[in-house]
Amino acid sequence: MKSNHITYVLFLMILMFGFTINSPITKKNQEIEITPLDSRKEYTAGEEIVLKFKTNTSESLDLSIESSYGSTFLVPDRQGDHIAFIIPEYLARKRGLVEYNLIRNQRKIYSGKFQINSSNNVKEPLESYLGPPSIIAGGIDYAMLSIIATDQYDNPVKDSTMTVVKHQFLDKEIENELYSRDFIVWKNIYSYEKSGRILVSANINEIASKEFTLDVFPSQAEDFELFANKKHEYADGNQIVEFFTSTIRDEFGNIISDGRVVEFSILKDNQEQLRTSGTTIDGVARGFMIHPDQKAIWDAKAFIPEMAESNSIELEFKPAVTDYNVTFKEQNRTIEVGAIVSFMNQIIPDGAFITLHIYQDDRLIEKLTEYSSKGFVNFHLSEDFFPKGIYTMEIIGMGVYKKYDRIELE
Amino acid sequence: MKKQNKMIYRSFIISSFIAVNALILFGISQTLSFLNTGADRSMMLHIGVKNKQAYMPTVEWKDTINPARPIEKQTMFNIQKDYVNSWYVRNVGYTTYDSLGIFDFYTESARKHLVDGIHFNKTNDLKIVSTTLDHHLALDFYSADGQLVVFEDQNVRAYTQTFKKDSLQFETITTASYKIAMLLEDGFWRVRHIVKQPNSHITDTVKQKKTSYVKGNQIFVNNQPYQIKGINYYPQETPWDMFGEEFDISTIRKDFEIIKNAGLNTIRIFVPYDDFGKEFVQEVKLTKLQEVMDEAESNQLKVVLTLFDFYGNYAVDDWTFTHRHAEQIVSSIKEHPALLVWDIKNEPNLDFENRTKETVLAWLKEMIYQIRALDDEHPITIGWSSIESADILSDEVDIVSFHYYKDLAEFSESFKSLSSLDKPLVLQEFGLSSNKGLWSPFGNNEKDQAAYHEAFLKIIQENKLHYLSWTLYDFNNIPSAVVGRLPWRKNAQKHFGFIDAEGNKKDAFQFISY
Repeated sequence: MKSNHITYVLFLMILMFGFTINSPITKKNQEIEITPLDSRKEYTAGEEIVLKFKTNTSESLDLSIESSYGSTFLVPDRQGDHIAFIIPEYLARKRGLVEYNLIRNQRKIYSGKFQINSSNNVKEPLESYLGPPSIIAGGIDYAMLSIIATDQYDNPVKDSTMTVVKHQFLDKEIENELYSRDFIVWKNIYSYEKSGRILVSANINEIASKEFTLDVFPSQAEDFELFANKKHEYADGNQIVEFFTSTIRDEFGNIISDGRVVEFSILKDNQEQLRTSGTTIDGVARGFMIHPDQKAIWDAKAFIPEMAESNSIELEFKPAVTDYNVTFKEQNRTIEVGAIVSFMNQIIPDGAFITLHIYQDDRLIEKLTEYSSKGFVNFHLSEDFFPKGIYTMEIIGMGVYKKYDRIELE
Repeated sequence: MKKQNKMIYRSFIISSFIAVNALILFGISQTLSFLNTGADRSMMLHIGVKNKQAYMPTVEWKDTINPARPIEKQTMFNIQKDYVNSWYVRNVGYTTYDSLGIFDFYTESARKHLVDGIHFNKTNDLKIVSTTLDHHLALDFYSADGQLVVFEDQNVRAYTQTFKKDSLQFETITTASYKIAMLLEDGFWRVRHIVKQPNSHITDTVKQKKTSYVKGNQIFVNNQPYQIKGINYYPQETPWDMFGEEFDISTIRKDFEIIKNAGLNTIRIFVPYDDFGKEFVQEVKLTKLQEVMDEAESNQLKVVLTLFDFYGNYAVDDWTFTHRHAEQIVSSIKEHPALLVWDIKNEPNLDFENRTKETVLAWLKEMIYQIRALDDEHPITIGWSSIESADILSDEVDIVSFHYYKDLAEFSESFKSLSSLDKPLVLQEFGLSSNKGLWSPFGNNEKDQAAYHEAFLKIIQENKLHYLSWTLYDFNNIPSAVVGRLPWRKNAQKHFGFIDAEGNKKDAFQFISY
């Protein structure tokens, strides 16, 4: 008991001593009494907020405020021993904790805080984002709808606000009730097996978001079939073979998106590789290739690179031209090939090409190529290029090979 | 004579003609080259935007766990950069009323609220100078498409000065927490919402083991009371440039042996702010500092390390740079066994006049906090230039340090004012220049200097003071940055040593220690 007294007296002395060494200004500080007249700790955004205090000093007191979007400094309205600070409207509209200090001579003499909650008037349309804007069918891929609903003062709505997220696909209309957290409500919208469009929207009570369209694209192509269509079976170097695919679909039976590039690859007589490509329309891609000019066997296959491929098909071309005449005229300086006739003994369509190889002393000195016109091909060997002498000539074309030794040019 | 004048006129006319033509040609070429510059394509993707970080608070990601999508390192980096920038433009906006940068880092709806606040302050003649000091981010949500992020910034330390009509009304350090939503818009992460919320609690980290600490008015090293008997040290050839090009560890080693053999146990050395590389401390300087510390350790000398030498800005927007500087030095030296005390700044009270007392003190206070957060083991002090200033911030520092260059006779009288402080008192600089000569015909000679140190040692022993004298050597060259260009000042500064320029011990040397 006695020791308690001693501590008490000691404490008092320390207190008094403390006061005596302090400067007069801080001493006065201790005497100022501040009584808040309004104990509200929560307000709603947009409300008028006035902080009132009762004080026993007539000296100037100011209020320093920190809120979500920055700080400011207010001077009071004074009525007798009551002072009031009107929180500016822009500040009273923003959600968040507001901390304030009453300041006198650069020192805080009273601190407090209050919370401004968002208003219940939700702004229409709800601020929402859907991404990515397109996904792939099959139920694995998804897009996310995120909603940061705001009130009329652009504050995020309070946590646990119930939001209904809806989406429609074909005959399905689905609603999910979700509660906001960390400003947002979010929902993953998964694709279905069918491709098409999913419409997505959200509501808080009667307030709606805008409508979002989510494109669901078909998934990856599955293997498909290859077909070929040729006008006749002869290697006339003139007609066109059309390659086309079956309708290419994904694993769920959706026709793959238009514009997918399909490559057609043709192996000619196991030696040469021919390539063409086409893009799909309604799941079908077409590719074209000119007939060979001599008999050949084609092995054709189609690919969507790294994704899908077709079966391979074989195409056989019979020779269209079996033989033709070669006539040497004008001291052998004009060589006439023809008439070249095709499989029904008809004159071959213009453009069949014939090559002439000219050798001198077993050395190839010239290669000349000419296209047929009305069934004939003419080569003229000018004196300027081919001086008098003995040459060996080869005529190659349309699957026919002829060799003439010791042709003398005058 | 006339002819000569004519020549002068003629050459003047010709040379001015040439000069005018050169100017015209220069102007035309500048115009043409300006017209030839087009819009830079790299600007579209912001990859060409080269900007020096204007502000460097510490940013730490506390967690990145979120329900939606794992976040990528690069995205975290981008978010962090733009978020810190959003604080910078906000602070600049409130200081200068310039809302230009706000358009880059706040979305259209959000920037309105900020601009409202700035506008209100502008119409009421209020200016808020503020800087945030550290950020602790905790991710709440990162959307699947990578365009939206919500996170908390917990316990953000910020320093704020409020001015009304350019007079300081209030300064404060606050800790506040925020929840932020940001959207990725044309390559920038922009703040969509920021909401202040109550602080969350940070758990304390494990305390370090203390090698040197302060209890009452005593300094302890390895649990033994420690008496500082020390000296301020610069090498003779490179005063005020100890870690420069001519850094030579063997000279320093010899000097430390001299100091040790003279019976001293402590040195005080200086880390210049600019020379060490400001916010990007150079590795090579740190290595030199390490070497010096190692050398001190092997000579059983403890080190009072004075930071921020030649620093004098203190501006609020410069704070975070100085924090990064301190961070790098403190974290690389704090484990060193030779370290005794962090001395934050040499004679900062001399900057009160130019940089305002409030700003300098606020900077010091925050720096004490920052260094303590990095190293709560070693005591902290500030080297005040006089006894009168020594009680400033005496509650914040662990050790009170002051310098004394006035009349010896007045020391005891002024020293009485400090007797009520229950902290170790360190006489961190004192000395007398034996500069009698051309520049100071009535100055002190070496005998006076010796007498001065003899007398001072007595006072020190009577008052059980910790002491560090100024300085080991007489110097040949004093940089102008130290005492200005005036030769008599420089000359005075040259002769404070216990050892003269030729390497001979002066009379005072026998009183270097007791």
